[in-house]
Amino acid sequence: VAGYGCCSAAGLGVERFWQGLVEGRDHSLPLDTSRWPVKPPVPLTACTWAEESSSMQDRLVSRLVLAFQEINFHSSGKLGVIFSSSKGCVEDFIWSGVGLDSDPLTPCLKEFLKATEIHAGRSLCVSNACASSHSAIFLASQWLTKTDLTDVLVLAADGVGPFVVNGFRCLGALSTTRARPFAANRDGLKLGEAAAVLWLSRREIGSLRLWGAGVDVEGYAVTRSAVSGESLKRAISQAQGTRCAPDLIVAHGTGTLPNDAIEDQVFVDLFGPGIRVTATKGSIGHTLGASGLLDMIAASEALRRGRPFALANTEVIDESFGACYLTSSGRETNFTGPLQEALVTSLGFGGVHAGVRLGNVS
Amino acid sequence: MISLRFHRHSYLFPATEEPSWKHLVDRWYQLDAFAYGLADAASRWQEKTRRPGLLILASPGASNESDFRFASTGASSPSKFVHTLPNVRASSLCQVMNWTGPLLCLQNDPHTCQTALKEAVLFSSDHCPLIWVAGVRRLSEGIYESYLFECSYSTSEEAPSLKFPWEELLEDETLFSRMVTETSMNYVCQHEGSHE
Repeated sequence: VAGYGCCSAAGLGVERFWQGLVEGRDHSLPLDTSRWPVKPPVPLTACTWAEESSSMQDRLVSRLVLAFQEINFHSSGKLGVIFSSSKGCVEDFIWSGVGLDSDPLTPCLKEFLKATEIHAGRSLCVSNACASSHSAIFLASQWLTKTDLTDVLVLAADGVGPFVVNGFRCLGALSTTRARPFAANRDGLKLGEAAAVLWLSRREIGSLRLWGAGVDVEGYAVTRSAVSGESLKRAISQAQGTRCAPDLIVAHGTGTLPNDAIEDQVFVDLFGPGIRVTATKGSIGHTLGASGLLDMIAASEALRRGRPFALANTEVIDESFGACYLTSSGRETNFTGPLQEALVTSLGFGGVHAGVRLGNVS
Repeated sequence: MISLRFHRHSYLFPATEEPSWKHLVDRWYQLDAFAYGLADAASRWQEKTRRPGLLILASPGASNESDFRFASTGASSPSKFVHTLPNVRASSLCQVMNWTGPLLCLQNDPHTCQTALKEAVLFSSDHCPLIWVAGVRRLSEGIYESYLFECSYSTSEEAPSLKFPWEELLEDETLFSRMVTETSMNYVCQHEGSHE
């Protein structure tokens, strides 16, 4: 892992993102409806700053460029670029009634490459719902192993507009208050916006290493994961390889009743009840296709700094859960022991499950 | 050696009768045209093919049609919203085949299919000897087509270097003119240089 950068509701840069996590800050505000009308009640969302004149595509690309600038990228080798996202890119054209002669992601990738003047030897887009970032990392690891690319940039960006808000609202998935991952009183997710860039290199750069990535889809139902969690277990096993239990899991942790329950069961089944778990979505919301990369950055910072972060908004953990959750006020406030290796998990619509394992080189 | 086989399946949507696989798919009656088509095709393909080690979805235009359907009908239908993610159409295919495994839903219009084939060749190895590249396209109002490329890897030296139905492909240029060109086919039959 040679570098990473991000923009989120916490502001520009990894440092602001990290400070919000360790302070347990919830960055959500009522959605700005001056740009796009959204039927009341207006949900809390963790949006990046608004620019009145820009389209969603401009907004996503400009944030990706800012995130890219943070990593101080330099390489004389061959570069691959993968853009991952879910639905944010459709907001510009979907309400116009005019068809699009392309998938909605590729124009964003092209604009990013143009804006940064990057020459990519290989580039494409991955759209695996909320597991898009993990899937892009899975693909990037294959590129670095099987091609002559020396470096791969994994880009992830998603935005919140009426398409996304109405969609999650009609599913009944939005929290009526605040997102509280793994809490006894959790009642849904909170949407968020973010853009992030992860620089993976075959060369020895940086103090973190990507050990493995796994993606698995199950044929169970269109939106619901199977209660057994077998697909998530397979994805984690693929990412884990033969490595022992991680010191910390940054879970997908949406704050919805079924998803959090499945993750808890899988973590306990695979690693036992002592496994430490945290999540970012109470702080920066569910950033959809970008969420995996934000979680990967959060895990990387925790490893780099040797300290974890607690779940924002979550005070009392669901009593049926067995893993060891990090809360700011609960029994797991004092995190002790080594922090060398982390697992980052993700779940997406369509039965997609994913895991990424990373650790300190030392 | 890497070989490619090609299958396709045309169908009407909405369907005029209940599908034979309806008992295998959760809420099959809520599927959109693309998810329905992959399920319908999978019920036929699985008798002719082996099970893949990786599934790559490649649909030009992603889920634009389903996105418009959701937005233009009031953006309030959960069953329409869930199909606005292009990877979701793999779920019905997996349910019909009772298949699990790695999935990548790739986009790179106007070269989405070529790109997906290129990635399939990259992944092909003795660890992953069979990869499916599958997708759906709309032919005209109410008529769709599912397609599948089987990308298989073998160490056999006896088989021809390329098993691909060129004639069938070239007969229907409107169907595949954007998907596969002779240049791209030559390309996908070679493994790229590996540093290993």
